[in-house]
Amino acid sequence: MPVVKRVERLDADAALTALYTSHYRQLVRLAALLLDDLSTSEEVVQDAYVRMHGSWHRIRDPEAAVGYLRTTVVNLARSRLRRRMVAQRHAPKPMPDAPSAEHGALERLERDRLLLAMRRLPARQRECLVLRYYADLSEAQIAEAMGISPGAVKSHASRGIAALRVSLEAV
Amino acid sequence: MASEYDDRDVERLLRATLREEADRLHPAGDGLTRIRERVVNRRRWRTWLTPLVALAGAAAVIAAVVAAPSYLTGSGSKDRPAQPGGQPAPASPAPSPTPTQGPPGSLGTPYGGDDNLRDMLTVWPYPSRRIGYERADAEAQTYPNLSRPDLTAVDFVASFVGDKQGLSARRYDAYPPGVRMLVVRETATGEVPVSLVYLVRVRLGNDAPYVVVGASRAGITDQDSLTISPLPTVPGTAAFRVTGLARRNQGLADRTVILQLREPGSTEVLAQQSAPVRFGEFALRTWTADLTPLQAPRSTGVVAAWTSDADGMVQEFVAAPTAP
Repeated sequence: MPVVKRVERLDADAALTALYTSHYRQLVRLAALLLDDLSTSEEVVQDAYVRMHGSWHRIRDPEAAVGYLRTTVVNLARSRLRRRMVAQRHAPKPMPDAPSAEHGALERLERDRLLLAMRRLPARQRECLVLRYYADLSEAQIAEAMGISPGAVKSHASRGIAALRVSLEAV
Repeated sequence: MASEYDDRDVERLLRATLREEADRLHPAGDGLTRIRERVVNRRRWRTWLTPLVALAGAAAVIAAVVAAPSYLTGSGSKDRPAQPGGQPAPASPAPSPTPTQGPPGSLGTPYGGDDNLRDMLTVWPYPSRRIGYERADAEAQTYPNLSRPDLTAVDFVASFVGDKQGLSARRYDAYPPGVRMLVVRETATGEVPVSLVYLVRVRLGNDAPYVVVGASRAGITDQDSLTISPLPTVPGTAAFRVTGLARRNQGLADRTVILQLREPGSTEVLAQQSAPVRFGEFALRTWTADLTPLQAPRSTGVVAAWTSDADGMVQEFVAAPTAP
């Protein structure tokens, strides 16, 4: 990405601006797919950028910075989810999700079911699937972002897909 | 019984669903402002923390040096009178110069006697929320519309694009520190979004003045044009380069991206440049322009970019010092 390449010789502030312009929105969307909450996702991504700015003297390379941001976002999202799960354990149970009236189309129902099933997956499986099918990362990149081995990525992804298939079929 | 879905079906459906879900999400356009505020706060904290850590380290070394001979000779705490309960007497408390906040008026600190409102960088018509708090009411003649977010957003956009004709604003949504107003221009072919303007109040209260924190295309359609980018550092009057993307929405005509450098809260234009965008058969094109400030800004600069007509738009851009 040309904008990112240009930050190579720049300082942390300039790198922050360039990387914000080129990747902020995509990272927020990635975080939102992991967290289901736009405002928390924005906080998480902003936190990742602040950390990257503080570590710029070690990172330097813009390509590495993108990997650093992605890994930080995944880790922070995981940590938020963990906290949220603890809070939810003590919260009253919500009403079950139901498709709204205008969502009559079969395809729409299918997608709603898929999203619901995604939310119920274990965090690691969900991360793998979002990084693979939304961010289009390779197994090696996912392994790096999640801090696990490529073999574990394969295993989480295949279990996740299998679980989604079961959910889609269970109607 | 054969399965209704195979893995490829699920993968295809998953990819489409995630893409669709993600496209529905529009981050607020003030992300960079918030990140910068947090970076500034972090720097300030470190400014205080570093000497304190050094001081604590030095104190620990001195304490170790002083304590070591008596410890080594076995004449340490044994000689110290014990407190009731058998605890050794505490050392006299060290002076504590630790300030808990930065200097008054620095960004992020509460002001105006209300801890809920914190200072922050702003773009127009004042450079910070606190300065807006101090001046907005007094300068009601100069900026009479500040208590109306719609009029303030329109005045702000007009202060850059110069033409107020047909501009209006309506509330887009609330975001945690304030409100977002969608500024549109009425044209012969209908309404065209121009910018999404982010505003915050300078104090609590329904009649409190608004100031502009930022403006961005992020968050609305692909048709608005005015985008603001804070520039981290403008080194004196050295030239800097602005690079971005522009999109042609209608027609085949080439566009011009207009760029301005100002200081936050100032209407004085420190640099202006035009960047021609020749689309040819492409809908999306990059553009570049070098800006040279007429005089050195006293503070951080604000770069604004917009297209020469309502049919084009500035999609993304970044301003940075020209590499040596």
